[in-house]
Amino acid sequence: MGRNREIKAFDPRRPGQPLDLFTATDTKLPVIMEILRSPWIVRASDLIQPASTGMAGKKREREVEVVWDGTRAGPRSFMMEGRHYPVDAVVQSWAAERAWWDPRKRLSRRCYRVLARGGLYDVAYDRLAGRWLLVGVVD
Amino acid sequence: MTSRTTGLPVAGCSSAWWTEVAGFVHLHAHSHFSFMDGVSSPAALLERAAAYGMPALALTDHQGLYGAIRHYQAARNSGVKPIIGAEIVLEAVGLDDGVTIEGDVPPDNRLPLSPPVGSGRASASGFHLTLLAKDITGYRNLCRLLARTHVRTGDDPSVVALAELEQCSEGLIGLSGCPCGEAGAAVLAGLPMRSERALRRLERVFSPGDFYVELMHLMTPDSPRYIAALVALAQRIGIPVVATNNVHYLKRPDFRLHDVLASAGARTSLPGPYDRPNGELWLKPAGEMRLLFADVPQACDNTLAIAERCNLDLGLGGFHFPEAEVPAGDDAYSVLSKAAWRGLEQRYRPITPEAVRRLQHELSIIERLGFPEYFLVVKDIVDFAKSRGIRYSGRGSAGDSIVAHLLGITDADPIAHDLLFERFLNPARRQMPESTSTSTPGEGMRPSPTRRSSSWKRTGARYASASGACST
Repeated sequence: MGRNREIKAFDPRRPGQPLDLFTATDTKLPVIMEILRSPWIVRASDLIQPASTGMAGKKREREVEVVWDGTRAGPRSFMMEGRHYPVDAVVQSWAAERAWWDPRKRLSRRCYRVLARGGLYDVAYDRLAGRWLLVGVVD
Repeated sequence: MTSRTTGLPVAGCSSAWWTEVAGFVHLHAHSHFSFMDGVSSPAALLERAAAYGMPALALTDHQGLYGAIRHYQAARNSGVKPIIGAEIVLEAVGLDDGVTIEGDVPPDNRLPLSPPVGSGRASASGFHLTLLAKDITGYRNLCRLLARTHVRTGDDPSVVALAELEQCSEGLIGLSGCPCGEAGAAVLAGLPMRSERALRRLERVFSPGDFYVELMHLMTPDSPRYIAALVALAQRIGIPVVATNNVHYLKRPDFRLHDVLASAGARTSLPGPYDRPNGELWLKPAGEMRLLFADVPQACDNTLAIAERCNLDLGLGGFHFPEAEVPAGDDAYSVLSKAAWRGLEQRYRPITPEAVRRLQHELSIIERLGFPEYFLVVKDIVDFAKSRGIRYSGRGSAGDSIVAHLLGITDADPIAHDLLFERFLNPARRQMPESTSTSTPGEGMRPSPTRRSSSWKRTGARYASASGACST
């Protein structure tokens, strides 16, 4: 269990305690979506901090297979390490074009932040390499 | 009314049609007349907007109307409704009471000023604000505002003061600006109270319903929060929102040229003063803009509502003379006729039937062609020269007119010298008289060279609205 075993063993759902945010399992998604859209809440992984202070999110970069959903203009699902992740919702998308004048640093991506299997993932289509990447697993 | 190229209605059609078919109008677009910033020509932007089936397109270059007439003419030809505006730089208006300049704000609460590019002398001195002319009054006020801004003396930056904007806000629609606007910059800096103060003060400047909170989805990770914060503020204050895309180029790949121009303009190396995170400031089609603002559809609907309310008619192709002073109850033709008949009594003794016929003939043509005010203005200048002892002479084919002779503009008698009036004004050739075709009013007469500056100075002061300037 490691040094944080007490934290990890802590059960926040004590008997008799009401579920404050989610009245039922199927209400979880809309509530999370509203929270993510809130202008006043900032995710720890968005904070720009020195590496030594640590971040709650993890920046990763690995190739994934993505099934595209043309109707909602976003990923429908992705495969990572042999596991299938159906996308519950596309939270937001953004574009990144950096250092186009420098072949060594150039970056051209279209990124999607998606909810899948209860986690929040950033997948990106790399326009230069023509492949999908998982670029972040956050919070 | 339908577009000549697209066959789509462009004016007078119902709101339902606009929303359903047209979908979106870009109300914040820069052409290459935003020097060292915008990439595309007004004509290219219009061509693309017409191809998208957009019913209107606004041109809002930095601090000027240099491309406005080209945009207006090209839009009329392409069947797209032209909207003319500008992105000005405004002084800080959301500061705490008692604080007058950004430098007096505690360092932690200061906002980043607009980057040193695009806005000439106003760069890095204030905050962006988008203005659109609803009608000719708004256009005149926009011209007046920009002219005042650019004639600052010394090293004063071309920043518009709130008081000046208040004086010139009639006929204008205001949008709160891009992230370089005070409201947007304050939200990004985590200062929502300052953003609210700025929005409240700006709202009071414009007529009710003529100020909008401008939302831009620039496809950055911060964009949803930026928009949500501004929407929340707008709802709290009761200001409508409108979506724009701060268009700087026609298509996505042009962002490189924009980066290069901005860098050269700011004399820095790439990535330049904006350090843009992507290349999304292109002229996006309605569907893409609607998708970006799927959570705030009223922001897209409002672009159509604003486009419907902007009906600017510049009257290009007609003559627009400065307004002569006319007594109450009279009009320009009446005043001109009276002066001419008085002149006939003084110049012709005896008055001959030929002179009467000639005067009647000329007055009827002058009235038909719409030149009475022109004659009155020239007469006013001549009277001024006479009163100051400044030598002058009428010139060119103005000497062929008995009206000019009777008003004292010329001295040669056109009847005695058998001069043909139609050389001067001809109903078959509806244009400015030959001697004045490229001139300002009064060019048909020449004051003495030694006193010319004082004559033109007085003329300019009195009829300044007839003059224009374009700095490059």
